[in-house]
Amino acid sequence: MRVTDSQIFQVANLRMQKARADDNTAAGQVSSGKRIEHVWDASGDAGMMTRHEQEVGRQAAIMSSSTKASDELGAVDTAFGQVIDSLSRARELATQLSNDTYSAADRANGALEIDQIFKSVVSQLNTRFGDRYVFGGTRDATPPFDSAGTYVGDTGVRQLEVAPGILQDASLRGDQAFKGVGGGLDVLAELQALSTALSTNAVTTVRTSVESMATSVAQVTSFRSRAGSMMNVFDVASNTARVNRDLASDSKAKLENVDIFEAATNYSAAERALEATMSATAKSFQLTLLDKL
Amino acid sequence: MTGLLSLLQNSSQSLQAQSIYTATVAQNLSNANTDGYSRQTAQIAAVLPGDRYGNSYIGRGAVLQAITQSRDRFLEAQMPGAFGSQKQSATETQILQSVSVLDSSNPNGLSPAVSNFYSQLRALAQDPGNASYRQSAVSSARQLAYSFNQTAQSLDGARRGIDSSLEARLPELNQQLARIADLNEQVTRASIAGASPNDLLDARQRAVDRVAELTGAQMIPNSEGDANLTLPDGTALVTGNLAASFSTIADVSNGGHLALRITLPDGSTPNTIIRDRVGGEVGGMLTARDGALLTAERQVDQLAYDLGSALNSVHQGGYALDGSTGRDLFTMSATVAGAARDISINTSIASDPTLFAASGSATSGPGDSTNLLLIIGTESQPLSGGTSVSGSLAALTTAYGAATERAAAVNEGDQALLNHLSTMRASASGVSIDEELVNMTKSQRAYDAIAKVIKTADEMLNTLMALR
Repeated sequence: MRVTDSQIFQVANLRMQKARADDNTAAGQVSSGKRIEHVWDASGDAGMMTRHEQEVGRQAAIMSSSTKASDELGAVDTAFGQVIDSLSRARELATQLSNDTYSAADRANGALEIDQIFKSVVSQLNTRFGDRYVFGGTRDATPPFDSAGTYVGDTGVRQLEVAPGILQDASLRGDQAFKGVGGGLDVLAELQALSTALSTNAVTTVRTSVESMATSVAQVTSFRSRAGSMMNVFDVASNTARVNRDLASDSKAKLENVDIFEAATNYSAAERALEATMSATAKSFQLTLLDKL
Repeated sequence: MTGLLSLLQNSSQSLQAQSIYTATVAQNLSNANTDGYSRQTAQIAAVLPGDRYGNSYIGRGAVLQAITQSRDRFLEAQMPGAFGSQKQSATETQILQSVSVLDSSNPNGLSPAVSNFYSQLRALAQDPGNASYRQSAVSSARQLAYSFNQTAQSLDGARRGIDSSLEARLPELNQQLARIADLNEQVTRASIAGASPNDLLDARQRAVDRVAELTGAQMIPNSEGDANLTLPDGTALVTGNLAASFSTIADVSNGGHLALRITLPDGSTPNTIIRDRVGGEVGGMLTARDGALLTAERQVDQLAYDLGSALNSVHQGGYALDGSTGRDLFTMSATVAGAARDISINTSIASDPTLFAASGSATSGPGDSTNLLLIIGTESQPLSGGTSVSGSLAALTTAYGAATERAAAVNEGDQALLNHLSTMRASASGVSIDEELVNMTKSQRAYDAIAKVIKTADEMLNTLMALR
């Protein structure tokens, strides 16, 4: 084959360009740590990365909202606990004051304490998490119980997504837990009835209230258990979402990131190839008849 | 005496031939780095017939027969096609790779915007009456619309940029076509005398190569020595000394982008030519503009339209904090075309986030997230095209990436072929300095020898003259 000077320089240019381009690509991958920077670096993987990115965002949001829901149910649980404590105290008073050894004056004083317990329970039922009243249904911007213990919330139950497309109740209805809607005792009315019985010295009614207070405690405890179960669901959902988020994130990273050892090896090989190309090119330029004639 | 005078005359002629040989070597050395230059060779031959002397013929020296070019017609015929293909795929690749708006690493891209939008909605679902969450959700909706706008503008901007580049190329293209037609005429005139106008042929070949780069034109030489050019589909570009010319016109059916028109060498009415009929840089521009970029633009429009419509449909069925209903979340165009460019958040919702319809009832409280959950559900539901939002985003990304990958792969093959042919052409037609130095030395030695002959003949003549 006839070899011309333009051919020599042309081939030298092509080889240098190729070696430089390979070196540049390898250096870029080592410095950025990324195998895919543009959609055309690996189009199929880039499409999958988009899906994984969406999944990371979705699972992170589910994780965050589930954690918040669990925290809120924690506040609900605390409120339930306080109400149970108050009702238990009311039951103790009812048991104590149903005894014939106590006078009407003692029972009148007991009525005053029950009234305080009533106010305390109403206050506990108007518990807020952040700016929201937790027992008001969807009417969560205003206190769900007025001072007389009347429920002014609604029957709405808030739901949250615990997995894509799967919803879970995130609130408990105050009217069901404390007002007996849908079956059960009106706890607040029972407290008021006990107070009236004590203030009017109606011992028989007070004795009846002992039982109703016990039932009230059991009713609230049952709802507290439901809150605990819901908390558990949200905790599991949060953990599952965290795992799914991490899996999606790992899957994305596996597609996007380079194997650093492989990248370093490739970079080293590209550097050597560039050096060798430069040396060979320089050598090929050195030999010319011009220097010999 | 006559023989010695003939010897002097013949030697003088031979000296001149060697001198031209050296001049040709000098021309080759001077143009060793000239693009498109083909090595020239001075053909020196013995002068025929020889002088008869008795029963023998005595040679009459050497004479320049011709100066020829080293051209491989087989390679030359393949070069325009290789130039055109390489330029087309390189231009398409370069344009497609200049658009990074669909990259997953783009923080303002569609994928992060969609993801953030639904994340903010989920945060709002936890506390639908919360003013801060509402504001964040509305801001994320605004950001989503903005991301659609930006993506559409970026894609359309790339397509408009191609229009500008196309217009910028046409003057050069028309000039080169006219030059080839003019050179055809000059070559024909110069060839009438029988000599090969090598430098004109080189100039014409360079122009042909450039037109091939610009349009993928193919050369069809004829018996008159003209270089006739046609587009890959056979449309005439240069016929003898007549050249076609290109112009542009706004194409209403293609969003006002420029369509290419050609006035044939016979001067007929301009015809609009479609992108498949032209190659080279121009073809690469049209392929990128009306191929992958247009497809991406349409996919983004479709996604904006489908997603916006789905969100609006659900949002209309919900209730704002004030109990109002029937409001769109996004203001959109009535058609798919331009949907991504035009989509924007409903201004009343943007200015008053309480109008975001999270609630499922007019009478429920601010904590009602019934409709909000339905809005969140649109993320997983298939859009009108049958795929979910993330599926559509992935399809958009993959389609554009695959088109760019394909163009780059084609370009790699085209570049390899062009490199090979260019190397072959450089081997066949290029100048080897070593070879020219050898030739120069060869001609110098011949020149010296002939000069010696003249000197000897002169001495012999002097000897004869001294006999007197």
